[in-house]
Amino acid sequence: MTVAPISDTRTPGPSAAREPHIVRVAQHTVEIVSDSGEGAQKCGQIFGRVSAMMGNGTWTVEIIPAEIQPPPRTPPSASGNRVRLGTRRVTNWGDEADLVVAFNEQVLLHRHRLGALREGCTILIENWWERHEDEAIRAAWAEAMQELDGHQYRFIKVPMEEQCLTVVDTPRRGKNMFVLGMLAWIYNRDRDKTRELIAHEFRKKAREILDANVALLDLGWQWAAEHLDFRVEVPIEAPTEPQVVMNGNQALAIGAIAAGMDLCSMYPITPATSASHYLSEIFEKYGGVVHQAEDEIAAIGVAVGASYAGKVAFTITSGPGLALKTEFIGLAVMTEVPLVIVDVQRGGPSTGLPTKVEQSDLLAVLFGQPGDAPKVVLAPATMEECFHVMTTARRLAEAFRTPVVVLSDANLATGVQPFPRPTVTSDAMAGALDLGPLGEGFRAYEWDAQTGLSRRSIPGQPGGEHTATGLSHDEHSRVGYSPDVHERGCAMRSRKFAVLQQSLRPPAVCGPEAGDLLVVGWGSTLGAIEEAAERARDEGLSVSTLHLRFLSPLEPGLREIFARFRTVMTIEINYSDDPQDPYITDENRRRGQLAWLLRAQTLVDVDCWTRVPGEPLRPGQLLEVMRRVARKGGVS
Amino acid sequence: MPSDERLARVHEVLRPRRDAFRAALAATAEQIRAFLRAQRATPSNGRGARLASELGAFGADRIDVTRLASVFQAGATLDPATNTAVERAAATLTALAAEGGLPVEVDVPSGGDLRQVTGEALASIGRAFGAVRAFELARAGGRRLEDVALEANGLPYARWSRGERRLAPPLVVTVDGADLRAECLAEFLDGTQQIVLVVRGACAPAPLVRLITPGTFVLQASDAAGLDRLAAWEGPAIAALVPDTAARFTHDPMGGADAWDRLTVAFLPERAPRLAVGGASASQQGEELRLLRVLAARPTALPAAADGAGAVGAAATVPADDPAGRLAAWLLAQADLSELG
Repeated sequence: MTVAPISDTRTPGPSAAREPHIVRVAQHTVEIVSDSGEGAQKCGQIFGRVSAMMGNGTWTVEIIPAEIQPPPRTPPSASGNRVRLGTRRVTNWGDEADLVVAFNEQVLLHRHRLGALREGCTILIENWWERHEDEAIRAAWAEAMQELDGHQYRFIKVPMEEQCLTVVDTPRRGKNMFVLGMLAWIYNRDRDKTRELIAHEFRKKAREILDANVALLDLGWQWAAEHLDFRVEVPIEAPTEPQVVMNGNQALAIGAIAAGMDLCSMYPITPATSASHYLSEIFEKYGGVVHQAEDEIAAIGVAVGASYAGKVAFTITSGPGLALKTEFIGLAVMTEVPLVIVDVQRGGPSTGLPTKVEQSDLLAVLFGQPGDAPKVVLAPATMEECFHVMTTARRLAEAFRTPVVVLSDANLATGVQPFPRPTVTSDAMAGALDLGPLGEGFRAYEWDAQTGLSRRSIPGQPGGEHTATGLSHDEHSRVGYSPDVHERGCAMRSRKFAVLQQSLRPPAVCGPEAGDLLVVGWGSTLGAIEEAAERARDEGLSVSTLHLRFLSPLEPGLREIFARFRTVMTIEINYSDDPQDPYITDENRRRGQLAWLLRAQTLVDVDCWTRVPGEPLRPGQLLEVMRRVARKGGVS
Repeated sequence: MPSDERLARVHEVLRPRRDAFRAALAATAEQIRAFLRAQRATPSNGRGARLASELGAFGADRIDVTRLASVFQAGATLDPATNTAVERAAATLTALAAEGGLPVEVDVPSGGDLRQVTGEALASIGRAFGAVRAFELARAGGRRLEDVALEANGLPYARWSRGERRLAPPLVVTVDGADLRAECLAEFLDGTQQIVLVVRGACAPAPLVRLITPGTFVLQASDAAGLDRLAAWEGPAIAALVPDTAARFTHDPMGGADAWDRLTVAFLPERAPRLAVGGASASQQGEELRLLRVLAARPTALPAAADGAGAVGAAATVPADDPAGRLAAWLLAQADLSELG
């Protein structure tokens, strides 16, 4: 791509309309950033979707400010979307952006300071601020440009405001579609598909609003065609099977329907809310109900009650909500009520980083209840797995009469990726219960002495009458007064997990089966870890990866797998002490949450490298870690 | 009989929603059969494969289903009576889901009762809901199966639940203009029920106006052109395809908070009705026309909603955000005697 120093920046004139230079690449990353509320996210979402629909590998990540309405034209206000396109499947957001569209210089500065821009990247920037009537704004522009000077960015100034004013009175609400038009031209996106997606986006708005947005799209296309001197071609290798395009939260919602669920009981919390919002639009058509309760505690209470009554229920929340649900989760464990709990993790503790990704709820989920409260914990690693995990979670919850926690995160929740259209079977949607006759002498917890499993009954089922209690109880659900009742109850509730664990297959190692370094991960880091490991192997390093989906019970055979590698380490998006920091010793060092778990479970000296940047990890960053560890034999 | 072309167009517009309902019936029937298969499955009879299917791709890839299946005891089987009830429910749903199984168009014979014919057709559609209820109750232990069996033969609209009313497919009714007393259909306009009346012969000028409520889409037209909007509306809706001489209007609940914003009148007959049509006297027909005018009349001091910020004139003297001003303007509009001049 042509690279020009910052001193060459200018608004291109129509003379640039000569045949554009075509940049042909196997993958390309574009960022669209604006002030919060200017619609860069919507622009990126539509661009990502249309790219995926055309057959490009796609992964999108939303850039979300920490506050709902941060001060405009400030770096923290940066809001938008990163879209990584590829000829083949794309599994993560990559390293730095190759092309950036910035609605003002301050949001651009924010991304620059975060190291999100590749040296040599092309920046299309709104030029209105440069000659703004407010002197302070002009000064801020000049100051920002000074900071950006010295980097090999190619600036192209775009008169977005001026152009949009030819269509709408308030460009603040229209620039995003103009930008979408420019991007559509640069990447040669299908305009009809783009228009269809815009129409869908504005389906509940008046016709005039849709028309204005389409006009802006066309204007952006036309402006780019007349003024830009380059286009980017990311060749498409059409997938062999039909694809669907959605983000992780949509996948969870549709997955819940495919799993035959009846009820989603929730209370709004970022970043989980969009799943239930999406579900509320479609669930009733499939016989389901979304219940928005008055708070997090009531939400899970309704779900526990509905499940107790024989419905297939789940609740969805994020870290702070999970904290509030603690007591009811314990009740579900004790009463052996099947329940699916989806935790779309965000940064914590407390209200933490509401809009940012983190994987910090693992230990809270595992050990958050007082007393012994085992539960199944599953961690989908892709948008596709977000769809399928709901079916598995539901069936395990019912088969083992236990809560099942699905740990998603903000990266999966908002990112968009195409994946093969799932096949839905009626088997997965079958009723929750065998409601046949229970027989004489049925007991509410007729624990099989070997497995701890028992048949479930619901209120009103002939022969199944009993009093449910959160108090420690015997097989008849009678409150226990003798010393061995609690011991036996705990043993039976725990035994089920051993049964499940023995039914699991050992996890697959990606890369050589033995070597210098094994990186273990979970959740949304899959793509970045595997891409980094592949690059490390290309450099001749002996690096393998293993990604866990069952976190409780843990998948079997880990100790044997770990024994084949010189170093085993986890890479996670949660906090751990840096071994080089003051006072930190091997004895007091707090490690990543999965590392903690693996050390306890396998007695292997599992190391870790974790970060909490509030954004997904980058493969280039992980490659550096792998190089260092594979050569040295440890994080420290 | 109404022209085949009009009817064909009506059915074309309503087909997606009807097909979706049929698909839901077929899926539910398949779910019931899956339930029966699960009841009959044994370890030697595909239980492992079935468990893999139940677990979905995420679990089946990581769980040894044969091993897992072996730890679960076979479930108890249904007693014969319950089994029969469940099989019958599946058969009912399958029959209704088949092409031609669902009442999609009914005819009110000349002199017939529109309410009765419509009610019977909806009750017939209600067999689907009756079948599902039968299945649910059968699974719950076979209680009240006799009552359920009756429901499976026809479930009147009045007994449909809120959820069922949101699932109902559209219905087309052909009727003589003389028999069109649309107000009798008000009880069927709930959930997302859509009814399209295709009218034969002369009818009153505004027979649907009495059905206008804030949340109901009401269309009176001479052709099927406006039916797309009706089909897209996620709420109760009724349309009548009437002769050219009748009024033509659209009441779209998405139009705004006030009746005059929601109501668009494309044509109003100039002459007041002078002859009775069927049981509707000229006076009753005139009342309907007057009601239509009143509902459509925008207070003269108020700007049109679509005018937005650019509206000028009277709006300048009555701030849109001043409730008292808006009320005063509306009262003045009611006293507008210009038509008498």
